[in-house]
Amino acid sequence: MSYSKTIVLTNYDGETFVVDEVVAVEPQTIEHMIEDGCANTSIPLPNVTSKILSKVIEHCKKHVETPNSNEKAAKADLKSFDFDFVKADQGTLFDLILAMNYLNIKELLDLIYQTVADMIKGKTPEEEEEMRRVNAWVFSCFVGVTCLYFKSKKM
Amino acid sequence: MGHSHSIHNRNTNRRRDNAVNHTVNNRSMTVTDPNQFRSNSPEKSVEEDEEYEQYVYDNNNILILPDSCLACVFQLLSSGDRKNCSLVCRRWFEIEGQTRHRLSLHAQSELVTAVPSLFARFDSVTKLSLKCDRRSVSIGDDALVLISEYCKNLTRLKLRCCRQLTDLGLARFSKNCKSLKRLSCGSCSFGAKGMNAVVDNCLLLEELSVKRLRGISDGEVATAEVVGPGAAALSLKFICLKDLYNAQCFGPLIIGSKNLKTLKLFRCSGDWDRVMGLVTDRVEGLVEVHLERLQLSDSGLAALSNCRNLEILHVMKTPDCSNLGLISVAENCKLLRKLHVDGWKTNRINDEGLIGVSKFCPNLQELVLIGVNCTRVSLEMLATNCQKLERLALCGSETVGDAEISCIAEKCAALKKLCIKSCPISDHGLEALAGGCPNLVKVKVKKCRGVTSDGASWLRASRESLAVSLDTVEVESQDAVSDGVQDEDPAAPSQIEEASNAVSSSTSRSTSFKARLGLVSARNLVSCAFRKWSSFGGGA
Repeated sequence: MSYSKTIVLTNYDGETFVVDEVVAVEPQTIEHMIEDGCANTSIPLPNVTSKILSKVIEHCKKHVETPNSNEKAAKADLKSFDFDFVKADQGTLFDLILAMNYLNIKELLDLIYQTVADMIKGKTPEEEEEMRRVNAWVFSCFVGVTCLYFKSKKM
Repeated sequence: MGHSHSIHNRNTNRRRDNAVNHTVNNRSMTVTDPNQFRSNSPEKSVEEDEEYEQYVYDNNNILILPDSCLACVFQLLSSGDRKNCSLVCRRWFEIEGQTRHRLSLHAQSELVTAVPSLFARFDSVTKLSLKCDRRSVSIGDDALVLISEYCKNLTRLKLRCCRQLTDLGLARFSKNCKSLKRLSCGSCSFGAKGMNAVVDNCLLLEELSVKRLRGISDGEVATAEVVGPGAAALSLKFICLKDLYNAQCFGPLIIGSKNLKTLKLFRCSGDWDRVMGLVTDRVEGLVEVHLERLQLSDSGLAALSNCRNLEILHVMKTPDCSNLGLISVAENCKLLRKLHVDGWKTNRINDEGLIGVSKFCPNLQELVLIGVNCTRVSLEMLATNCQKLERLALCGSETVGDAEISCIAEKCAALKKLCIKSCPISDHGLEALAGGCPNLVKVKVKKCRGVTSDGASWLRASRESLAVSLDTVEVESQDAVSDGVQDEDPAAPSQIEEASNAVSSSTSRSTSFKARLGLVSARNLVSCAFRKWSSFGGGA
């Protein structure tokens, strides 16, 4: 496969990623930017860290490069790739959701939503709260306690 | 979660990130939900807010997700999980409430006091289910009308056992909720007036299911008030009537629903021949028809010949229907894909009818025959002419033996799933399946005395890709024992086995009974059985 054009993506801490245009238009936000002519060669993505951006590019590449056929092997390969892709820690997943929400990649977003939903499934509110680790309800009621809590945590 | 260990490592990275990019993160958050932390604590200072947000970012918490993302995650959860999520914190409570479309409520009369607060919390409900139990007093008209004022956008409503609702309440409801698309009501007390109000006011109504409606059953057919056709008749695509004494008063509605695709009639009294004739004269687009336990003869069945698009037909326990009726439907409805026949052992539908089906319906994919004595003759024809046949079930047929199974194995090339229940087949029949039907993925054998677990395991061994499930009494009682492991009484297993054998031979409800047996210990068995029987008595 050969791509005619490359696009430079710049993330918020100034790092640049050179990507083939075919891969870069996978996220709808970038596609619209290119269509609207807002992006000549370099597209700034100030909301996305380099770690997340490289993960997103990895995903888009894989999905663009996999032939769009009904072949079972290709589908299974993509599925196992997706499966491994979401095997990240929670922090990365949440960062990914934020990035996806900005870049508007529906396919990947659905995948990660499902992953987060699977994490929540079958948990009691207490466990859920443990996972969330901050109980905003209680904290917002007891602001003083909240501050104390934060301070002790930060030490 | 194993997350806590990684926090500190990441903290250092993230903190640097945040220092550089704090404003950006702030924006992404506040744009979607400006008040998420402040709404509940107006006295909270900006400094504390920042500290809080800093904390959230430092820990890469799920809280960094904006409301819209959380709502998307919640959409993927079951109702129970959503309930748990709503208890986590106030913000989740609010998001969950605002994005919940489906709500199921216990419809006791006390519900009326909770309606305002409930529907203020769940302000975007479109699918509502109101169920009451037999012993309680259900919600009344006032509650239903109040609900309809809160949810004007309701698209689906399910009512069960709401006996205190009257025609008047339903009428006022239907005036408020004009975008209703599906209505399902069972064991309620309103009647034709209420139904008429719905079909007159809800112009978008597509599906109507009615079961055991007391108000309908009053009076003779001639004098009873009829339902329909009403303004919704043109939008109706699905009508299902179950257990109604006077279902024929829905006749005008069915006949007027020119765009009807699915018609299901179960256990409704009265002579249906005439009505079916009238229906099929005007409603020609029917795709799916279920007829069960009806007084219907060949002339009523043959009336379906008018529906050239018929794809799915269930003719269950209609003792007056014979080969003649089935053949005339088959002859004209060449698109038939799924056919279920329960002959009720009357033997009026047999080889002859099935040969007719095989002649005229080459698209048949699914065939279920219960209490139909078919033999090799018709099965061979079916296998030869219906090359698309993927699913076949034969239950309680006295004539289906090893020869018939061999025939199926040999001829049904496309068959994927085969189910055989209470038929005189033996292990030899299963042997035939080892070599035939190249596309077969699943075989289910139930209550066939001639088949042993050895035969089934032989088939499993010789064809590994095939899922074979055997369900004999012997195997079942083993399951029961393994399920009830907590039982310490060594004599219990044999007691259960004896009991389950006795039960299966003495009652017609043996399956549900045996399922229960797996859950109760032998010591509870007797009392459980008595309770069950007494509840049958009470129900009947």
